Amino acid sequence: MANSFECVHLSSITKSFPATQAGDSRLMILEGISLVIKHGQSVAIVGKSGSGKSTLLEIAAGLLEADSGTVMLDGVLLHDLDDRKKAIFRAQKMGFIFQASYMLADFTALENVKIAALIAGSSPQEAHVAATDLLHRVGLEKRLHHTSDKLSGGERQRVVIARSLVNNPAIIFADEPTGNLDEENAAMIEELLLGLVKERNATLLLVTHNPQFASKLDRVLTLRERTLVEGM
Amino acid sequence: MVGNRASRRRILFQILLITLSLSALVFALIFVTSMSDAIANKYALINSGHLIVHDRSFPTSGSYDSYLVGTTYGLLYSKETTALVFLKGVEDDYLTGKRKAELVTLKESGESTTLMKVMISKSLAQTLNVHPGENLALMIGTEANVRPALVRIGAIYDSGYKELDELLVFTDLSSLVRLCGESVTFHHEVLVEMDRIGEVRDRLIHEGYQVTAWSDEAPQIASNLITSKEVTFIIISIIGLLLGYATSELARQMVEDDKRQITLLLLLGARRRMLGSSYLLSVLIVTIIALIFGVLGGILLSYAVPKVLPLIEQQSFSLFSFYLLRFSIAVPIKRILLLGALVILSSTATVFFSLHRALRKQTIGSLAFD
Repeated sequence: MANSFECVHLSSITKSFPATQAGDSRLMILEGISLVIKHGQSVAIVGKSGSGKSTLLEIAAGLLEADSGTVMLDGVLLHDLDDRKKAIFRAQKMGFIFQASYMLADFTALENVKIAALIAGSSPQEAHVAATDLLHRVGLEKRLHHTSDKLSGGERQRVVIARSLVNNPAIIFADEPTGNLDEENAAMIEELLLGLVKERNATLLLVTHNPQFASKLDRVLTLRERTLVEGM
Repeated sequence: MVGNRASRRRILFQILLITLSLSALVFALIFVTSMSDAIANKYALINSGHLIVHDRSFPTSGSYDSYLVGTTYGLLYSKETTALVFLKGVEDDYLTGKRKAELVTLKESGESTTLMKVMISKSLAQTLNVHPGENLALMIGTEANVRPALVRIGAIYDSGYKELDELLVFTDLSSLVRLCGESVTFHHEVLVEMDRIGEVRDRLIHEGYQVTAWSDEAPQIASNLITSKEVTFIIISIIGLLLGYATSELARQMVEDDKRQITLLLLLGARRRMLGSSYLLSVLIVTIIALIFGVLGGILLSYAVPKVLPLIEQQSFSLFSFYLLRFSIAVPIKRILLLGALVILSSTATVFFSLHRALRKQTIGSLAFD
């Protein structure tokens, strides 16, 4: 059972995928994984390529159904939510950052961040103020009205970070947020992300290949042989 | 960037397709309606009047625009052939006003004569192979008493509609009465607006007169005209519905083009219904824009074509001999609005279901963590 200090509570998560060749049994990816993350904690998940880190992140974010087990986020059992309630929950309580900076191509940096606030139910004025403040905060005050094709990779990722935080979500899910960036930009993004998450007391669940980055977070978990172990 | 350009090209293509299709449909609707109404009006004005009052005592001067007319049938003989004709005796003021616009006097013979002068149509003149100034033999009378008479062709006219004037011969009323006597039937032709025929007929009947409408005198013609208008409208409406259905393909393509963006918006918490409404509105705006241009295009085309029709008429193509090629354009506003409504309704319904299906296929997992 979750208590009020728990933001993420995964219980006995199991996931398999169909085997690629006929005749083989299903491919087990995750087996009986349980995880508890407290509010405001930042947790890194590391592991070899293909170990199932992203799969675990998707299940924790409610984007993929587990074969068995339960997912509880901020005290809410995801299984109990229908599509409409899940969408509302996603808008208000969750933020997403991906390796590729998924900006809406036809929209400016400001509009990309505003839209997340508008979807969550903010008024246009509130959304404008929140989006502008955050973009200033991530150092893009001179790039508010630029579309994604006019922004560098690092700048696009900063827009995505701002978008993920505009609704003050309880949890941020990040999958290799610096994977596509050069060393200098990666370091800047890492600092920015961790600083903002701490500032807003958000919970961060992050997947990374970078052990240096992982070590900056409160906890590091390794996905090894279908289970999670503490440490690297 | 390329994707956006391709998407814009697709939208423009759809607008063009709908605009051109609707222009053609609206043009066809206006053309058929205008021609049918013009034929009906021509029949009413030249053949029988909008209303026929069968009482000789009906006043010619009064609150109604009425004309005394005498009619009979006869056989006209030329050197080459014979034709059964409908002789119509009219007074001097008959071929004036609205009627004057329906007839064109092509040739006249100015020679004076004691013979009864007749005005025959161009098509009848061609059948009989005669010209103004020539004499024709006319057999007239009752069943009991048939006798010949000699008449002179005073003029040749053209009404523009062979079906109507093929057998219609005009002459002076008093001359007809003098020549044909008892075989002449008298009535009054009353002219009113087409849309007031019913109202005026009821009023005249209430006043005690025996009245029929032009459509009662020529039921086949009236029925054919109504049928052609209604059938044309039904066919155009069906095509309009199919055109509306075609917009669902635009909706499907828009969703396909925006797949990644839609998935991202779903990830951000946008609801499928919200996205669906947005796309539905986009497609409807495109459809309405195309609809407006299409209707305007059709109306403009309708006003341009009558300038070409007289050229076709001059060529005397036999293919067009049964069509009226000289008429004013009348835009059936209500029917065009109904057609537009059908296109929009069909578009809304089909796009709604198309979007519902297309958006259902968009899953968040496909984008989330590639």
